[in-house]
Amino acid sequence: MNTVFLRRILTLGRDRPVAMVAAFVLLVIVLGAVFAAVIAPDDPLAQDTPHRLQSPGDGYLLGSDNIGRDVFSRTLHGGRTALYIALVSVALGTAIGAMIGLASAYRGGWVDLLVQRVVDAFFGFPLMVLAVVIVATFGPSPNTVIAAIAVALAPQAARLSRSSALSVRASGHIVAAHSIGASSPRILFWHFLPHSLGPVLAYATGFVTTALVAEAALSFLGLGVPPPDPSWGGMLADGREFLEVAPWLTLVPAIALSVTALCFVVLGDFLRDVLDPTVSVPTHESALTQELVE
Amino acid sequence: MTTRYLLSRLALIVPTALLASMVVFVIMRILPGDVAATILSGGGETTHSPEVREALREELGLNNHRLQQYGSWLWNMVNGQFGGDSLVDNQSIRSQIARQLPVTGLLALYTLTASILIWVPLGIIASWQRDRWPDYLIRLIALPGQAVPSFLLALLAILGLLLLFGWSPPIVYSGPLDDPWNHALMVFWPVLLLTWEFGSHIVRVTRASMLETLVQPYIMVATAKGLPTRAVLLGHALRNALLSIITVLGVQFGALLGGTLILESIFGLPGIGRGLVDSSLARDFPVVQSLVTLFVVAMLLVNLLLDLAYARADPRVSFTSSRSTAGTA
Repeated sequence: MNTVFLRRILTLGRDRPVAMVAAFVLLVIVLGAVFAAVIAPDDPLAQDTPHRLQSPGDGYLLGSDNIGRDVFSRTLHGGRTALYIALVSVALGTAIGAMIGLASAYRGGWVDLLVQRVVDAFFGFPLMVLAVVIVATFGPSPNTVIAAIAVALAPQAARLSRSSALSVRASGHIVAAHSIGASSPRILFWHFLPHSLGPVLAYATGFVTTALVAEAALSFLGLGVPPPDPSWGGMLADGREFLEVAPWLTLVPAIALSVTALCFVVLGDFLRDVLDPTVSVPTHESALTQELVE
Repeated sequence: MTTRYLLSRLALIVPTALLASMVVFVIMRILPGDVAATILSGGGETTHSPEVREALREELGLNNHRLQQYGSWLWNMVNGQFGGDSLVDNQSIRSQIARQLPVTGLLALYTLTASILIWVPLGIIASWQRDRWPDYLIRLIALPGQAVPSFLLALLAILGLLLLFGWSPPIVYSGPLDDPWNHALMVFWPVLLLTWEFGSHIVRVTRASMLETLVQPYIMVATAKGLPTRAVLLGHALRNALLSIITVLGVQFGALLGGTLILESIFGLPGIGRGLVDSSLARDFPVVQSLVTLFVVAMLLVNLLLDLAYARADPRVSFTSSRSTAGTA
């Protein structure tokens, strides 16, 4: 299985150079975020008031902001925050949602009906609206943002894992597992989960983009990472007042955010092709399910 | 029959809306986290006496039984008061909604209309001219709408306008009847950006489902019997592609509302989205609760309308079947 899998990745890599480029760019971004403390030439919070609003180049690689902080260092540390929040919230939301979806499909009956109604009710909330409510209640902090995004993503993961679990519920190996008296948790983890894992993982990669953008939007609105801690959204908000005199304050975090988000989109599409054999050929249906999940 | 369907659908909205209102209520009042403390610390007072907090809890009704709290809030929502008064300026939430709802409503209406009028035809053209330059061009135009978040596009648009033309959008909003020109200048950019984002999904789905329909035998028959291309595309192919388009309109409407939330704040439009953000920042807790419930009800109503359109567009969808079976058709 592993050699087949590897070969499949290699062929796809040759056929899909864009995905490979995205993976490489993402690797650079992740390394930059992980080693932000080492790479960053400056403390992201250190103010150098005599050198405010320096243009990129002299002294500051990507310029300095309105209170003399190094934009490059802030972007690196902001990326660290962004990736941390996005990855943790997606992992949490997907894990919780997938568990709920699997259990719901497995139990069926009124449990399934009830869970689906609750999921439906959550679908009525646009992600940003739900996130704003949660942040408004608990106050802005990275952990609140993580919780808010996770709660917003969980219903989507639940719906996704439920539908993929339903498709195997009646299949032979599940019936066989039942007939030899396997316990419910065993069937859930060993027989249902592997089937849903591929599609859920592929979509989870796409969710990262959603989470990144949501975090940036919340921080931009002042409902995310509280200042002075660096975040891309917060940098965009700070830069707004200085659009005319210091456009780099807006451009640098904007480019960082869009490139990272775009890489996750491309990688998500690629993973969907590798991990979900049912949609290996881009069809109308896959385009549509993609729309539905987005 | 349609009336009966409409009534049954409307009746189904009630439990979902109730469930959604419970979700809001649980998040805001039952989960651990003292709202009174959050409100006070948000006001800049880092140290507040227990008496002050207790008084606020009393004022908010937080000391009542939870069921009683939920009941009185729900009653306040449905009796036309929309949940009472704002904590910040003591204005009634009802008057705030009356002021802000038209702004967001118009924004959503403009975006929906523009998206359908512009992007559906573009999707048709793209499928008709598949793999030729119009197709590539249209897909290229749609790409940033999908990949770049609309609030980034908004910032870049403002930046570009400022640097190139030294122009920035007006600051004071006016209604379409008071000052149509100012209104148009003010809403043009947010609507353009929302249409870009919303429409990029529409164009993708339109193109994909048109392509799928265009290879069907009955399209070949229609072409073979000498129907003009326009009649084949619009009369036969679009009719079938319409179902997917309606589905994607519903799915993306939530993202559209989320987009208004941010764009209203960036462009200074006094709508519900900005109201929600401002009241969240001010910890104006009753307002947040009411506005969010309003958002959810709006989502449900739009989905009902789309369901009706769905049944209209597809004669196979019987008025008794649920949306879930219709959605997979």
